[in-house]
Amino acid sequence: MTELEIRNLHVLVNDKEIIRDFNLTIRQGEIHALMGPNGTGKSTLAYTIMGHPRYQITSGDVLIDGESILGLTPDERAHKGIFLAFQYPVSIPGVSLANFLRVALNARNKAVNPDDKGISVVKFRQLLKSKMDLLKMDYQFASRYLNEGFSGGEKKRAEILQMAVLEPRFAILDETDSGLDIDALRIVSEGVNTLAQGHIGVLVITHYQRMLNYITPDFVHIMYGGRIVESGKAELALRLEEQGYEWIREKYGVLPDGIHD
Amino acid sequence: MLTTLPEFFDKEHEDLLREFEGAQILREYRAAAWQNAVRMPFPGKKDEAWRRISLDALLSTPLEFFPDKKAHLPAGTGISAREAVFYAGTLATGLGINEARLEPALEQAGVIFRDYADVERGDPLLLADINGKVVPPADSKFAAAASALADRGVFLHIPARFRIEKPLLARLAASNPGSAAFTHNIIKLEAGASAVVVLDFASDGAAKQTENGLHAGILEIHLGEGADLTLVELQKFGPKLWNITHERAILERDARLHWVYGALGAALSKNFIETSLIGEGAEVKMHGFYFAGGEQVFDLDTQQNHLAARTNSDLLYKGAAAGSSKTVWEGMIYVDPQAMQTDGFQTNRNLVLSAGAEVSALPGLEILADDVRCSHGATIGKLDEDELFYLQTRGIPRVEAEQLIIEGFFGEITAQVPIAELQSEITEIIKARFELAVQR
Ligand SMILES: Nc1ncnc2c1ncn2[C@@H]1O[C@H](COP(=O)(O)OP(=O)(O)OP(=O)(O)O)[C@@H](O)[C@H]1O
Ligand SMILES: [Mg+2]
Repeated sequence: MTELEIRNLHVLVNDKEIIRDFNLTIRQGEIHALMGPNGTGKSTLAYTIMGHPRYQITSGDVLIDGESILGLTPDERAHKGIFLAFQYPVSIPGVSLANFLRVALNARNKAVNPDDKGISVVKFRQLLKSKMDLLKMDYQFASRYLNEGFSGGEKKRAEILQMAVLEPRFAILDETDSGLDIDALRIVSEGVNTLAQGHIGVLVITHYQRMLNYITPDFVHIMYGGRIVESGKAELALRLEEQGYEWIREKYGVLPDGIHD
Repeated sequence: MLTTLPEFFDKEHEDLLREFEGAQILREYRAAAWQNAVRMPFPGKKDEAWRRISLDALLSTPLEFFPDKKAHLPAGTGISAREAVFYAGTLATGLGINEARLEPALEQAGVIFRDYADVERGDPLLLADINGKVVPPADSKFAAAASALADRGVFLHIPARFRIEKPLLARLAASNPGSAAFTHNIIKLEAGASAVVVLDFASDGAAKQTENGLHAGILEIHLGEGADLTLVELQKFGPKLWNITHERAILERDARLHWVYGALGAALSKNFIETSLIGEGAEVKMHGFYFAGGEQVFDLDTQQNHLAARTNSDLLYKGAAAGSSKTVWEGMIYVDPQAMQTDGFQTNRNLVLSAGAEVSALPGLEILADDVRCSHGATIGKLDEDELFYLQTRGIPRVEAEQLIIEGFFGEITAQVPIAELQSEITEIIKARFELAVQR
């Protein structure tokens, strides 16, 4: 069984400790929800796992099947099967979504098999269309420049399209639900379920129950002050929805210096 | 004859001009140009347009003038079989090649698409009232030199109201190693004529060049009333060539020009790319791209002159600089007091790809009329780390991610090239340039 383990992780951003002693293990097939107040370090965690150069790890480790990935570049981490759906996807002018995804798919395939000759344009188009169908996306998005002028919800849907094409083993969805309208939320969530089918490990970062209504989490974690303070089953998310974070603040106190919520 | 440029212009070389056997009037034109070439000083650091580059190496290197034309004949500077079918007319000239081909219908209509020196010999009267009308020899020492000494060039003349649908291709080789080459290029469209022209300054096999060379050229474009020209100009010279050109287009009433300019080759390329909108309603779009690497120096001077009412100009130049290269873009929009209701826009965007590269962007406006809309803007930046990270998280290695972003950056310009095959060729060249830059 493949697993992604985050062990005693400490991360500095601009000399400020944002992640402090974070621990979590995600096994393939499990769905974990990560919730927590604004600024508590959820996106920082996601970026750190993907290897963003701005985030400095002072101690701890991130491992896949016991092997550290901290020495790997972001693309190598992607080749290991980790995918991040960004909270704020950037746009790349002049590069079409289809072209970009084909380059990405070929790069992944080549990393896995150095003899890979690359997918044919025709085959790729078929693949892309089938994935766009799954997410009920208009085909015209394929020829548009990556995220350029996409609405908030369109960007989020395009993130999951990328996940669908790249077929990761672990997916981190950073607030994928924000920006999606009610129908889109259902379509995208069902898409994620179809893709996961019990064999992807998923970390859903969210503020609300709405996405979890479709993607039922096996575990819900509350992050506060840079680490997980509570873990539970799906009910924990419902409790947050009802009560907010007041009880967490009461229980775990005011945040240490430099961390705010 | 091996000599430096200053020595060459110092001596009496009038006998050289006898090489050119044109009609009396053309010989007079060359002789007058030669007087200018001798009399005018070399441009230098005190001249605003030249002060950002150094001509020291160019002026101190002995060069061969008028080398045996058949001596250096690189393979592949001609026209390919595919191109011969695709284009309505092709012209390859320079370095001993002189091949011109035109579809019969064009020939019958009176289109002339031939080597400049050829026309001078065969049909001198065609040149008599065109020569030097757009780029006068007095423009600069180099313009004068090219006017006096050009032994090749592109000559295109399209009669009134004749519209050519398929594009034309002219390939001009002018990079003999160790020598100086001068070209005179003319494109004249009479009223209501239209054409798409690809002007390819090439030097195949040039990558292996070890000796420096010089190309000095002028390009005169004249568009009559309502004429419509799309010009794609690609400078793909070898890495040891110094390239200096004066290029100008004059647009009469309601004429339209779309000028795509790509600078990729040469050790040093100093180019004046100017448009003068002299007739009401004339319109020009100027798109440029340049990619400098290694020790290359590009200095592009663009000018949009609005000299009549209701004229439009829109310029977008994009550049990338790698290695320890240097690029300069200096633009000017000039609006004459008479040029009311004029729109002039100017944008220059730059990517700096290495710490050693030096990039300057100098937009300029001189507006003497009221009731005009003008804007200018310039940016210089590095590749965006967040964009790179995003692409990398999708499994794309860093270098490929950089390449993709650069391709996208230039995509805005390459998309303007109206010939799909040429678009992909340019994309490939940019890719190759980037790969070269990364290797260093
Ligand atoms: N590049 C950066 N420079 C400075 N501060 C940063 C940077 N990145 C993150 N931070 C800070 O780190 C803290 C955690 O940010 P992060 O984006 O991880 O929070 P989050 O839990 O994802 O919040 P939200 O729920 O609002 O998305 C915040 O205080 C944020 O301002
Ligand atoms: Mg966040």
